Amino acid sequence: MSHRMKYWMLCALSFGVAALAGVVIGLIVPAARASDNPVWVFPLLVGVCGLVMAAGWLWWRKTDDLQQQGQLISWYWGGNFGALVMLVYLAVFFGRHSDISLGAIYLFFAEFAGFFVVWLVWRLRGRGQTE
Amino acid sequence: MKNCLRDLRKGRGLNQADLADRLEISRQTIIAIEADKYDPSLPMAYRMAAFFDVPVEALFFNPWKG
Repeated sequence: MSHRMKYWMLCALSFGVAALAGVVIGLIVPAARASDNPVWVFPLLVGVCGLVMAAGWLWWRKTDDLQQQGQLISWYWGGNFGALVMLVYLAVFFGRHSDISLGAIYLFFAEFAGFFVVWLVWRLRGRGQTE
Repeated sequence: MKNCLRDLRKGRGLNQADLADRLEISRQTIIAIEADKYDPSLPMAYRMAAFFDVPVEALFFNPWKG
């Protein structure tokens, strides 16, 4: 099988697992109230998210320098700017303390926390001998 | 970075997609390097040089060397 074929198959697998995870989350989590047993539902769904990331990792390993750079630049600059615009929109149209604005702010904090952890690991792994 | 990837590729009778597949990278990357729009990482540059059996500096021209 050619590299290109493997790449697109893993890309499709990645999207497929993400879509499947969305269905699983939709089936398990009620639409308008908290889960009945959040203590086990939350770790279970974090595990599902882990599977999504694992499938993405399989695809990521098949990407080359240029493709990775494209993803990283687009997610950092495009993703962050898009999220900021949405955050401002929600605050302006629904109020700073509305449920939807607070939800978006939590998401932003989670993104920052995830960024910080990965950045820290990246920084520590990149260390060398200081002379 | 100026390079002679296109010449070496054509010398082997390969199109961009064939070369990309042989090197296990994307065709977009080959196109960008040939157009001097993207400088590859050192491992990728070495992989390309090894494929064509030439030194890296014969493939990518060192702009800091006279």
